[in-house]
Amino acid sequence: MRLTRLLGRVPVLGWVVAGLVVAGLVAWPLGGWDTVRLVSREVPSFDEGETLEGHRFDLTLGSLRLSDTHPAGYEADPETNEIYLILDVEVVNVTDESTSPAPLGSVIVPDDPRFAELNENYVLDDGTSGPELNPGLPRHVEVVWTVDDRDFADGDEIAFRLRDSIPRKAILFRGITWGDYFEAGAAERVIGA
Amino acid sequence: MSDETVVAREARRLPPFAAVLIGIGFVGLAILLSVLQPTEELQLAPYAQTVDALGERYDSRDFALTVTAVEVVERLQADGAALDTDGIWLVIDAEMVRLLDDGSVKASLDIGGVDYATSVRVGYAGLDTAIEQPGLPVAGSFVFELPLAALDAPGADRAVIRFSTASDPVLDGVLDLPVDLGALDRVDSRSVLVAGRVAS
Repeated sequence: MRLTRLLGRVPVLGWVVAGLVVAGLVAWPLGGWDTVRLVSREVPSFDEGETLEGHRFDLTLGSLRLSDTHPAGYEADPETNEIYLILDVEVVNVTDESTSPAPLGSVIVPDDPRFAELNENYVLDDGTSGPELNPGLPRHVEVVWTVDDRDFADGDEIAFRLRDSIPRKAILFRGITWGDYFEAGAAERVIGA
Repeated sequence: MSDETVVAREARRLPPFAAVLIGIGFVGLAILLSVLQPTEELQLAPYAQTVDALGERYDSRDFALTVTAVEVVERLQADGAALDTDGIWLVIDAEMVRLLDDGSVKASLDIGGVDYATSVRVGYAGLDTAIEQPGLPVAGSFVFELPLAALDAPGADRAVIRFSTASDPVLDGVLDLPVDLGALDRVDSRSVLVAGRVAS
């Protein structure tokens, strides 16, 4: 009876604060509020010719092939089992700033353990490496990974994660920075198909 | 304490509403100062000089530039090879010379707040790739590959080509060339002037 009377004297604000403290203590060992991820979100799949419209790039993934010849014109070294895995991509920079193609490395990510390292580079049809991506200018870019020819063959299916990101004002330098990458899509391509 | 002292102290004390007004005044002053403070962009902005005429030399802190032609080009060749594009080319012929230390001169294009970079497709023919010692002039072309829509974009009639010694100049001298993209000479086909030294 006495406890009930005591509890009855606790103001409403006190119950709210106590509830928040308890919720915080539960969330803390689970990683806190910021790291809670919505796992129910479905990631769309993009077939050839379908375009992912992102905040930074519009991307259309084409076909995938293996080649001994790099699109920039040089040959793979057979003694080191090198071969080039080449993905055709149509890309449009939809921002207000020109950029190099390097950020595409964070956007088109092979989801396959056979990639020992992600050493991609970007080449145009005329062999130009690392072309600028000016706003609004469509580019046909060949994304090239140097891989081990013992690990990949025609007919293999390769999965790609397609990520998007959100611009925010940079803190350590002027301008904007692209962070908070999230899964915006997925794609699967068969080598040589 | 005498009654006179108490009366005098009471007379010096501000009425409550006056203290509140002064507090609000200080808050307003703080807001005003935060609004009037120059932005970071403005504090770090380069010192721009306008290029008003073609064929005349303009000096900036560490370089001088003479722009001789600005053209919109539909088909461009570099090193004898045609450069296919889904867009269009903007070519600026110029002569540059570094004044204080060795290096290059960069160019960027602003159309209504949208920034474009020079094309790497022209390779070492591009004037922005020429690195020279002070006092040795180099002539050539700055080349931009643009989407067709850029020529009619908002602000295309007051686009600005900025020349500088760094891709992101801070508190340094730059030269700004204003252009009306729609009014420029339109050339069907031409070649990039391969960057090379000229007699000084």
